[in-house]
Amino acid sequence: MKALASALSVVCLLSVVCLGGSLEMSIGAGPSVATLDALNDTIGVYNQWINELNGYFEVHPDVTGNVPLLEAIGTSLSFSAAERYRLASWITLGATIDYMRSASETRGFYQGAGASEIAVGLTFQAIDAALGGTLTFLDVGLQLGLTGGVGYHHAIVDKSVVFQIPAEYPHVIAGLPPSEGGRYTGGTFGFDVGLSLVYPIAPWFAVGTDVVYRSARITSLTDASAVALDLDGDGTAEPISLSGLMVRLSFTISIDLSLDGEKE
Amino acid sequence: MKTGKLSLVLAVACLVAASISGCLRLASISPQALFTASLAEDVVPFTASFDATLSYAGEAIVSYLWSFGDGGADSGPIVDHTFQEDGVYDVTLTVIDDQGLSASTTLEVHALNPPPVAGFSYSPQSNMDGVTFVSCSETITFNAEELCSDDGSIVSYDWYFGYRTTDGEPASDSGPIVEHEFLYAGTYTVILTVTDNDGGTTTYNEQITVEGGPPCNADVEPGVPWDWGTCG
Repeated sequence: MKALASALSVVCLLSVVCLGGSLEMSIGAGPSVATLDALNDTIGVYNQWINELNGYFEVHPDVTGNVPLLEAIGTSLSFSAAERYRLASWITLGATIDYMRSASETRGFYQGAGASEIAVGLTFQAIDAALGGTLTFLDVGLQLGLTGGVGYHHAIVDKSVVFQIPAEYPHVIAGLPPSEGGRYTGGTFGFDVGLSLVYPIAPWFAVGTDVVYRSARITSLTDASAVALDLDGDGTAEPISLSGLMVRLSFTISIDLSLDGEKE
Repeated sequence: MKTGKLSLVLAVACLVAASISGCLRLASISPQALFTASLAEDVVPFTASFDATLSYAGEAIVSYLWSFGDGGADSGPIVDHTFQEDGVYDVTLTVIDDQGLSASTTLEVHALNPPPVAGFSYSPQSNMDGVTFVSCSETITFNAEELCSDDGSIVSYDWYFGYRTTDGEPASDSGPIVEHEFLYAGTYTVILTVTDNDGGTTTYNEQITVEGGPPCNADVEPGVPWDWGTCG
């Protein structure tokens, strides 16, 4: 990550010196969807067992309690910041950083001869840093362009699982993910492509919308002890797909960097 | 005009945002192999029921395949299996959906070795007023052969006769049939431990009443009160 940040900084600084065009700085936010297939598969398994236990103990005379189901993870608001240089009226190059956080949790008890707790918390965070650009192919007051980039995607998964089966449940359960907790991190390179629609309100200010498809898949996430995240407890690490769609509503400020003070 | 274009930008943003909010729902759901077992540990032979109806997939599940780890296999959402031999078995369920996607889950089942049956008889015995006893210094034959049994074979018989000898060692012996003499009157707890070929053990004990005095040449410990009894 440090190396990537350094590289981005160097690219930005060099661009300023070499190009002297207009510098465009954007901030934006919008809904983002990441597949997070393995995480959502695990949530599905937890919910299946919670459903089973809720159903069984709903009619059990000696046990009370009900545990809420978990929500799917991966849909949230994401935030972005970008810095681009307009090389020509139809092309910009630069760097973008996105941040996304999505979480799901549940907690409840079954009270029988003893108390059995079920508490599951999953939090996903992703920081994406990408180098790329926009090609504007239609400018009729509204600018329609093609965006793309390649970059590094860093993911953090915080997991906290307590899953106690009440002694009154008469069966042995197979396929229940293990009770454990920890922070797991990992990263991978990926790419994104999309469309941008920009409306320049003033020479120095624009409002735009990007719709971007991101493709990235992390082979494994590991904790501080290099233990891989094994969501289903089968002894093998699951890859996690970060692929998904992002929509950014962004606000852009342009700063003229040319020596004669004119925009290109 | 400017307002119209700005509205268009915002409208596109909202429209696309709304449309992708359901994207997760469109993602395919991987099949998940989940099942319950009526037992995961018991003494063989035993029959366990396995229920895989909690398994699910995005598409319909077309196959439930079971491997019981002992060479047995079955298919179907609910199956029974009898474990005949002791051991640790991995029961594996594999579900396959109609897209050909599959998932597996394994449960460890512990089929326990049945412990051997232990018991013994001894002779000669005397009986007086309904009380069974043996006499001091009399050679008693302990026989475990007839009352011990196992699904395999018994590999050791270890005896402890309930006291320590004058040199501090436990009075013990081994073998299916052993002989022993009690020198002093009293009540002794005789313990027999049998071990089978799978390492299973069972302990059986019985109290034996010894009547009479020690033999005249008995190695009587100093300071131990001596009841002459019938010695002599």
